[in-house]
Amino acid sequence: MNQLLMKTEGLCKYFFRDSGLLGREQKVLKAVDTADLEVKHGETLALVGESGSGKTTLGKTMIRIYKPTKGKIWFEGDEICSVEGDRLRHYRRYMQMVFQDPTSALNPRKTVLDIISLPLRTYQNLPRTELRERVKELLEMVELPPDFLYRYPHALSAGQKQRVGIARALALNPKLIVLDEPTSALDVSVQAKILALLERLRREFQLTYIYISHDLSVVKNISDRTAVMYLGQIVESALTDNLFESPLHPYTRALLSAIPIISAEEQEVIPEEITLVGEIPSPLDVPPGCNFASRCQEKMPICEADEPPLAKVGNDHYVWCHRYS
Amino acid sequence: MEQVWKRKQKGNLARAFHRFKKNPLSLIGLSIILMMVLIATFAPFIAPYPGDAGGAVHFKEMFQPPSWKHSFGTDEVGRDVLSRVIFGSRISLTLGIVVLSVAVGVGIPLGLFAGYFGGKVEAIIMRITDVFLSIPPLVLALAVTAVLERNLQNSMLAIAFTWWPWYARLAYGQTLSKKEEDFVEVSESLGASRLYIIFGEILPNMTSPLLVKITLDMGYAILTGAALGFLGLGAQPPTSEWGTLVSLGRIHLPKMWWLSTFSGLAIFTTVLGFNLLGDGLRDFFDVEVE
Amino acid sequence: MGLGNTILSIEGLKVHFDTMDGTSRVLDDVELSVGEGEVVGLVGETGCGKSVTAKTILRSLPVPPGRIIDGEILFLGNNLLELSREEGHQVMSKKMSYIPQDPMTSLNPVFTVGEEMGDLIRWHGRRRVGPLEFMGLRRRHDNSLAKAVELLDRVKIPASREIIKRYPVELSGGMRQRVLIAMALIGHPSLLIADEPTTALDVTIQKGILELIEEKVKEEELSVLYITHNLGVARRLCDRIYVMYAGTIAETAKTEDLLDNPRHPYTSGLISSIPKLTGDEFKGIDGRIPDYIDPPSGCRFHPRCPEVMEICKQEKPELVKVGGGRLVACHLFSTRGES
Repeated sequence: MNQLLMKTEGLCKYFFRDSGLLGREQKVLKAVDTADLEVKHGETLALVGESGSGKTTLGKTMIRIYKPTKGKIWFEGDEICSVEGDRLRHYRRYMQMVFQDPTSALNPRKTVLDIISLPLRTYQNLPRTELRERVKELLEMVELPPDFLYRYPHALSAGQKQRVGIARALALNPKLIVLDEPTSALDVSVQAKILALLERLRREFQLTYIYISHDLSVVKNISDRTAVMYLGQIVESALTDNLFESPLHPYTRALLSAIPIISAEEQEVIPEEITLVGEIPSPLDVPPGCNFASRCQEKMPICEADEPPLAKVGNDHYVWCHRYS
Repeated sequence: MEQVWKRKQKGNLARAFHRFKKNPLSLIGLSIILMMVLIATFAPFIAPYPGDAGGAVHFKEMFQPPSWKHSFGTDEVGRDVLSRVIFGSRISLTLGIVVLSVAVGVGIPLGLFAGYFGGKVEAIIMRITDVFLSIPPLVLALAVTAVLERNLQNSMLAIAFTWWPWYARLAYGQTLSKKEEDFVEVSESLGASRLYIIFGEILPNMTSPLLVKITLDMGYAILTGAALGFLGLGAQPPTSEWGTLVSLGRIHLPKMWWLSTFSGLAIFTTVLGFNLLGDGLRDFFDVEVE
Repeated sequence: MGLGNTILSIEGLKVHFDTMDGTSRVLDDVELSVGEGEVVGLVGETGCGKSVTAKTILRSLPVPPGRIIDGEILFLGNNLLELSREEGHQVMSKKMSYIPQDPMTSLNPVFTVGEEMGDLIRWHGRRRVGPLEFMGLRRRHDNSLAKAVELLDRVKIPASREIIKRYPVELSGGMRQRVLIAMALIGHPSLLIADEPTTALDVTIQKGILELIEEKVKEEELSVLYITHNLGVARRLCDRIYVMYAGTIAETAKTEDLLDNPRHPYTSGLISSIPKLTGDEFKGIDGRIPDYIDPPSGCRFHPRCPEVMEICKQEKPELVKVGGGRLVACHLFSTRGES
């Protein structure tokens, strides 16, 4: 449990956009800026943030779907940030992804068999019958009947599509799965079923999850540790229970207090009301200092001048804020 | 619940047919095309005087108006016009198929590569495409045929030469939108080969707009082929090609009206058939084609 | 519902859609009412018919394929389904307004906020504006821009004088939703229908919008029909909630009663599906929403219901009173009521 599976140090992913006449000027979009994270074997690490926070980009960069701009990634002790070609392929089979939009994730022109068997076909040379047997097994793992093999995605419900996506991610016996908001397109009654399935699979196959979400109620229930992101940077990370009990960063507190809850008991759990004012700055043009300063109600003069340093405030609890340094 | 889904599965083909049936015009188009294909295939058995398709001469029967013996009349050397029009369908359909096969075969891969790879590949392919698109197709085809020997093969080549850029554009646009889909990213992250991603994952997603465009273009290609024939740049006499037939009959208008009229009607009907079917397919697949 | 007069009441509304596969029986005897000054939530999952209900009320249901089979919608004493287009427009344009779901596509991208709002202010409640009048008046100075600024101030948009010169693409999602709310408030409506106005927004932005709607409801003495799939949002905003399932009303009660003590098995299932911050166990509902072409006999929820009885498969349950202003459509309660 305590063994490290993945570690990142100063991981950055920038996108460059040409602008100005003839594209002479280049604007930099810092989608992920100096992310330091540790992922332990068998745990679920949640990446939380609102749209544009860079959580999906971070997830995709960690498993090398995107090529990092700067920084280091270790996977089981091996530095994988700059590996390419066959070496990269070797690591990638252990790192899979489940996407947010189950409709876009499945090719509408392919049968479920083709979709789930794609990883097997690219990595192993199995005969057709064996392939089919393996896909049937995978379907069973995600609780779908075997007669789904020859269906096309349009004949499946959103929940079933997401199960197919999960089956595909499981095909190569991965160690790490990045789950990018796997339930945000689903109704709550279906979401609960998918979350239960993911939890069962994690235990059964000793999987490690990076769970990307904007829904804090879900994160609270399924993750061991949580990292909160704002405008490309991690602002706070801690054990999930600690984070919900004593959120420190003003943004974390605002985020928690904004959760629409449904019972009085929950009301007691969330911090007092904070309403954020102001607008999120454009990610192409982030002012100096703390990224959150423009919306922070507790900002000090230093916040608009210097980037906040990392502060360790407890066991495995880190916060990037001037108030705690 | 499961039963409902089974019903939907099983009913897919029936449903497609049902939807297609709702549009009677496309059914008319489909029947016209089927009829044309049958006529072209079995031309030697259907035509009353198969020998007249070529350079036969029957001076005794020249310039006969439509009658029981020659339903479409006869031409200046006494050949049966009906037989010649029937044989003309072979040439027009062959021309359409060849032109579009070449255009699709060249244009689609180029568009796919340009859209998928982007950067320099895109710049080169799409600029060449733009150059071709900036010249009116008939003018370009005229220029090409003027350089080459005047025969059917070269006229097909000339038309195909002007036609592929449209398919490159179609494939390019479709690829740009499809490559953003997550399933492409999945295949990429699994290290599937680029050719597999392009032809195995992206290409199948453009079959509907492609099918619609091909159907609509069949009519236009046949029309362009007939235009070249009419201008004397396509198939040469005595081959019975519709455009050539119209052109040859033109000098005898209006007295010997049957010479040009029936081949003209054949062109009209065929083009109409493909357009009706194409429009029907467009509604059916609900796709936008430029 | 004990809050004085009823402003909107729907009785036995049945809406069908003609599809390729046959008739889709989407709304089945929907009953719903909104009292004066009341904020009513209409809650349900994807495809339960909540948006169709809203569209029917707003007379924007596409006909065909939609067909209103039966029922009445009484708004301020007029049956909206019997009014002509003209009369309907008269009644509705002044007294009913609408906040759409998608703030990104609901504003015309070629007009500035000021132009779009100005047009609405000038021609509010009119059905037709001639092209000459349109071109002429758009240029003439009047107080409509000042009024637009005032409206934007009312929805707490900072630098409103600047914002009216901007195009929608230059605004964030939250800002656009505020503009749409401002536009909905033009002409002081009595009833506001909001169709998931915060679904596309982040939670911190959503919170601000909900606070704004709450405040406007008090200030303007609005009645609201608030459509959402999020029970948490409904809890924050609504006095009373209707739970909708597969085109039928399953249950209605005061918000607290409904959430703390749900009666209908679907409501309980829905509530227990939601992950809670307290970490209580959550479980989903088996199965999926039924096919509307061939809906289940009797109660439409019976194939998924954990407490299904024989009668549920045969008879459709009526909405019955179970005390405290609550209505439940479930045989568990109707049989109890009889005995």
